[in-house]
Amino acid sequence: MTLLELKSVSKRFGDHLALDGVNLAVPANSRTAIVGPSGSGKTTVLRIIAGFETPDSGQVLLEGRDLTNTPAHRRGIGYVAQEGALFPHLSIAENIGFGLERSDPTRRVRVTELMDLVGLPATMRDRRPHELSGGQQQRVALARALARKPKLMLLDEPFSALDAGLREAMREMVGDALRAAGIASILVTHDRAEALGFADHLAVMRDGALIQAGTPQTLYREPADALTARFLGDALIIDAKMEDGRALSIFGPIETNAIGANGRATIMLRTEQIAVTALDSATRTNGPTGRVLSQSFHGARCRLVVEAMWRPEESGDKQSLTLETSSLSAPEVGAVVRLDIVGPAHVLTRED
Amino acid sequence: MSLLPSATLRRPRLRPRHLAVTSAAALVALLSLIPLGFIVFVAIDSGWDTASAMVFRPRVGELVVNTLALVAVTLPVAIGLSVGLAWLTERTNLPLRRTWSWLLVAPLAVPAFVQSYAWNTVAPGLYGLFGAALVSILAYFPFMYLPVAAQLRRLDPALEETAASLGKSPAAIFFSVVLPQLRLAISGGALLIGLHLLAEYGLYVLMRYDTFATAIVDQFQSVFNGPAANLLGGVLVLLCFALLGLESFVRGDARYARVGGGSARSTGRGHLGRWALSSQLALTAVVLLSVGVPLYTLTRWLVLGGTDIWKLDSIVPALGQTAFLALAGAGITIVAALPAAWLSVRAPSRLARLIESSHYYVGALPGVIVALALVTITVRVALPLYQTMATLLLAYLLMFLPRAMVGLRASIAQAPVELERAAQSLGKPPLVAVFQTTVRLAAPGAFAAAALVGLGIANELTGTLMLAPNGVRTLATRFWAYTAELDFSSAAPYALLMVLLSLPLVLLLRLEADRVVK
Ligand SMILES: Nc1ncnc2c1ncn2[C@@H]1O[C@H](COP(=O)(O)OP(=O)(O)O)[C@@H](O)[C@H]1O
Ligand SMILES: [Mg+2]
Repeated sequence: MTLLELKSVSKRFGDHLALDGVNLAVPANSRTAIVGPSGSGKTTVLRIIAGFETPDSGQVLLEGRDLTNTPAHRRGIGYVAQEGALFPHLSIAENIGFGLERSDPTRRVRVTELMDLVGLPATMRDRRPHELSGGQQQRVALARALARKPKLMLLDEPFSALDAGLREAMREMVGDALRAAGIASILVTHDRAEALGFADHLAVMRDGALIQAGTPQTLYREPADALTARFLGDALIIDAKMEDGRALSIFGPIETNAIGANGRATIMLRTEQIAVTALDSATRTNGPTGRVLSQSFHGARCRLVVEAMWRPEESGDKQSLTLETSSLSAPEVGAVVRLDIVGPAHVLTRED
Repeated sequence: MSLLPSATLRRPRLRPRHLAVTSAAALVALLSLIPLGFIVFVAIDSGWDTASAMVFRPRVGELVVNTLALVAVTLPVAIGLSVGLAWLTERTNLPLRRTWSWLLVAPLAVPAFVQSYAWNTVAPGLYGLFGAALVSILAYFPFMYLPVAAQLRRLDPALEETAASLGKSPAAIFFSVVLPQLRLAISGGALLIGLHLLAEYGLYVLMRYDTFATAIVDQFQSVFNGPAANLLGGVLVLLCFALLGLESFVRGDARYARVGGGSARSTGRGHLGRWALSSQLALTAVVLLSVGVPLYTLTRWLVLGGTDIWKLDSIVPALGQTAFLALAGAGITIVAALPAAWLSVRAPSRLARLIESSHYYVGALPGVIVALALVTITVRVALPLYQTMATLLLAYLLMFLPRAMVGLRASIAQAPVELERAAQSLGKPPLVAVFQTTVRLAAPGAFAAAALVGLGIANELTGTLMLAPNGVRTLATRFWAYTAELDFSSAAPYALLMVLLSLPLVLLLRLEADRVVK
């Protein structure tokens, strides 16, 4: 079931088109991540959903109801801003209880529960926001937004001000808390690892347009274009000639996901789809091979620049590729390696 | 992850820099205690019987009631008016809002007693509490409007948006999020206005409303150097302390620093809709009353007076002397206020609070009390200083110390102490670090504070009347002399010049308010 739906929402700031006909459907109980480079319009989408900004055209529907004329405070949508936006004049407990009725007798208990839920020690009740670390401030902001049990929670880069180690822990905590409360959420981030780690539904934005939406797996394996492919992970993008659904390239003929296609094409392989094995001079192979041009150590993984060739004696076709391998079995510079392709390639573009 | 920076866990020790600054601040505080010391001296000197006979009498009760009534009527109206106006110009899509926000600062160019003189002319029937409160509000509300408007612009819009997402209506957001964050600006502005109400003399003489200030001047003029005026001054000092205590209670430990960097977005403006017309009318009314009336009156007297009233041989020297006193006075006042302002922001302690209070209280004394104290002391202890420029400037310093403090405090609070620490960690000696970070960041605010002081001096009346060396006649004293003779026409050129002289300062103040926000 669709909880929230954006229908060709556009927004212009001066002569800058910040959003260009964005369509988005957020399923109930889902965790959606909107990912895209800075300035792509992610925050604007969230602000329009929250009601802080009015779209120039298009519609926002919550459970099928048009929100256009509903002010922010009547939408029942939670919002956690980038730096928490805690009220500096209120204590932690007052911040968290801000959205609860003053007369609510369960208020105190609720605040305690919420603090517990987001992992804040009860001793912090009476602290002021400026006495908290960045991570704690974000916990308060989340607890405060959870207090009203919104249908939908909007999170605008809530972890970007935190350091890397903390970020991951916070992401898990937020994910768990939202799941426990049964609240659908939209997380905005420019960090693909964060998006992939959080979401069961992913939307990619660029230049004010929503490029693609779907499960993280689909978007990762079958991105709509080369930019999206690279944005979501390391990718090899190669020219190929299609013959009945198989791509002929420097890797020789490989399987693709475009069944029965013919003609010139650009195909994409994820780095981890290529297994690199050192070849000793005795073994020969029919498959694609390459020569290691350089090698760099990155801990668990080792990065290789490999000059790949497919039957060099026949076609002379060569291309330098950046590949990865386990650093335990990394081949030396100059070594000849076998390149095994795992799974089908994804066809990005095609001319018949 | 430690919860707090380790520095805050350690008890700060009194570092040498603090010691130097504290000494300097304490020295200024001692200077500012001169008038109080003088009053205590007079009280002791005249003995308990005389003192109590003079203080506990119906006349004093009357004055207390009058003064409190004035404060009680003026402050709430000024707060409501300033917050409303600031909201209109800063947070709505009001057409011409920039022009309006300039016009709302313009009344600062009209000295309170000129404002009063204008109202005397257009509405001779206006006097008593109502007249006094009305003219006070019109003359002083910009002191509140400016900080409130600046604070409104500085507010992090994410706070209000978050409150909306938590289900609060716009009205609830105003009271639970916006207003608490205006607390510092409002209480600071209210203190400044309150101190003016206690100290102003000319305005209330013309409005025929007796306050402590007018009563003290009356006493002084009938009995030179008599104890009655000084003892009344003692009661006034108590009132002033009450006001200071109230402000510090209301201000509490409100912290205005944003938590985190805040959002870079500027705050959205509300649509006035059907309120557009009534808002324009309200603004028009405020500007007509506060600027229109004095302008109209001045123009009228200038036209009636023609060329006869422009006696250049007395106008030109008065102008020059006024400008000199304003510049020199502003300079020394800022320098004197700097140590205490720094301490109160950076190293708050009971001692710093005490020092700060003594800086503030002195501004609430009517000019005549400061002047009287200095007259007595110079006559008794340092005769060569009697009726010299030095004494006059010292009087200005004492009178305008609070203005300098309010402005400096706010601007130093703008400069994060972390920068200073960073500069020190980069190998700068402490004082150099202070100069290269805080002083430079706070300089614009200090400049604005100096402008406020200069503005005050240019229009100062009572203290100047008493202390000016022979031959020194400022615009204000000339103006007052003519007004006292009911020669309103001859007074007009001086009033006009005081207004013109104040304009650049008002301009500066307003520009500064803009800059602080960017
Ligand atoms: N209030 C605004 N006024 C003018 N331009 C804006 C405003 N808000 C956003 N923009 C512009 O719209 C574009 C998208 O902004 P934003 O939604 O904040 O992007 P993101 O969150 O993806 O970084 C940016 O180019 C930004 O400068
Ligand atoms: Mg953003």
